[in-house]
Amino acid sequence: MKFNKKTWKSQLNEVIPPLDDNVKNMPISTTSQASQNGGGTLVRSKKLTVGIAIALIVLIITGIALACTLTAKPHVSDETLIFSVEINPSVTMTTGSDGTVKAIISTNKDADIILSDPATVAQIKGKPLDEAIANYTAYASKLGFIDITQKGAAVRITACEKGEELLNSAQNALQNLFTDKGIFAVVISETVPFDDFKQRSGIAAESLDALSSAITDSYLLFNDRQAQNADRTELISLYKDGVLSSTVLTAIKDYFYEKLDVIRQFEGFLVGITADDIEEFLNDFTNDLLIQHSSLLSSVLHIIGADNSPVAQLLKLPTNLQEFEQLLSAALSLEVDYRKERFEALYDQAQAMTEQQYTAFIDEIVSQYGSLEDYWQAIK
Amino acid sequence: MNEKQINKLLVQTARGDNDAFAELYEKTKHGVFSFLFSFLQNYEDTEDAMQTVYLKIKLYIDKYTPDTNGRAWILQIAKNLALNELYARKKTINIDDTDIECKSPMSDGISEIMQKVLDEDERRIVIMHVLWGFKHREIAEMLNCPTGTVTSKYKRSIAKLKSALKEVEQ
Repeated sequence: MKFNKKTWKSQLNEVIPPLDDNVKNMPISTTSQASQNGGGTLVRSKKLTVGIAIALIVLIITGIALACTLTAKPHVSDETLIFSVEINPSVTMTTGSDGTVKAIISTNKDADIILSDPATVAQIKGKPLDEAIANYTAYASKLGFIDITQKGAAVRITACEKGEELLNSAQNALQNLFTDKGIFAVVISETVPFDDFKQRSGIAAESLDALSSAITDSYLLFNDRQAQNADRTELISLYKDGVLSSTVLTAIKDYFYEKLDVIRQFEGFLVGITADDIEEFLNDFTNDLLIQHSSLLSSVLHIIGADNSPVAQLLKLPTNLQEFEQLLSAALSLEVDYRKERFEALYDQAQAMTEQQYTAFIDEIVSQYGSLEDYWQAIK
Repeated sequence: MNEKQINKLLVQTARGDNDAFAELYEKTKHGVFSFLFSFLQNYEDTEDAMQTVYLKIKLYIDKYTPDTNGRAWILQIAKNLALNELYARKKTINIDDTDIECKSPMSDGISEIMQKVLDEDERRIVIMHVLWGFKHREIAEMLNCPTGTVTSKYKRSIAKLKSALKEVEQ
């Protein structure tokens, strides 16, 4: 038998009695002291005057409150709850009141890597929140976003205004994942007000309903959203800073290193550059240099007959949104492959830890930092 | 258990809404029952105490201040009732609490296992966190101890429970 709230509640349901009819039907003592007091006309009229005065005050206050509703805390449909998961990478999702995930978006560029895989998205959307968050985190771990060989990673899950029960279930699910896979990572869970949640998710919205719509109606990927309505210069800048991650650059660099011998064989066909120049260039490889020399590097790959390689595709700078989206897809695919190659086997072979080990790990962090929330602030 | 929902139901109950009161019972009964059981340690007394808790909620609902901690208010009523019951029990029967047999329709249920493997503080912390939804920080304030203590006791308790439940399965 597993310890979880659902099982516990279901056991309790077998023993908890229904509310006694006498208690259920007993009238409720509402505040009506005035009606309990007897009194003459003078007392009654005094009370009437006071009553009218109170009613007037209430009307005035109500009027002010109505005037303030434009700036008052906005309303969200009872069916929609909003949550975020921060590892790095970060995502935000909406669920129904039953906790089934309805929509998810990445809220930073690293999360694009996770959500670029349709199979992973299928393990999140339509799933209960706790399962969805566990699946998301498991995949992030497989791709090396949680270093499972080291102790001390942290995941923060946040509910916007409400959804604490679902959040608690998600926390339990994550802790189970970590103990099952021997991952010494902490889980911090918090329910925060709308304004704080907006800050955490980085999504601009004036109301909860607007936030919910922003998530439901948005493009899935962070970089894709940024690229909408961008001109060519902005697209290249976004490509350089948003898409050409250190992993993608490393993948491109490694590819050229592997091809150096072939490049040397075709050196006679190169103009204005030698294989040694390229090797030196690779030693100080940055995304600025790649953008600056993308045409040259494309030519080199063309000369050695590698212009259909994935790396060659990444050297073509975007001129419009469609090309940007193709480059984004190619870069994400490369990044996923690169990361899987390096981290997936580690994750698959990870051994479970004992509950005692996990508890001791948490205790150590709490004793050092005071609380898990303080730990999060310290490491992030 | 959502703090705002509980507050809303208490406010509606205070206005005479019996349906809201019935919903309040459904939303809080697991937490109240477990909390009482952790003190009284037998089902008969806990069942009786349950009815009295909700009777008192109705009787004293006008004492509840809206938008304050509704869950803590209900828990306080339950705690006072349980302590009064224990005090009355000691006066009339004069036996140590530990001698009270844990009469249970489900000997291997989670509540029963909690009674066996967790101490009093640990039981309360687990009930308040899992069934009542209090954060560790809130529990620490209510129990007047550091948050870290609550967190580590909670983790330890879950570990003990999981281990005990596994043994039961075997």
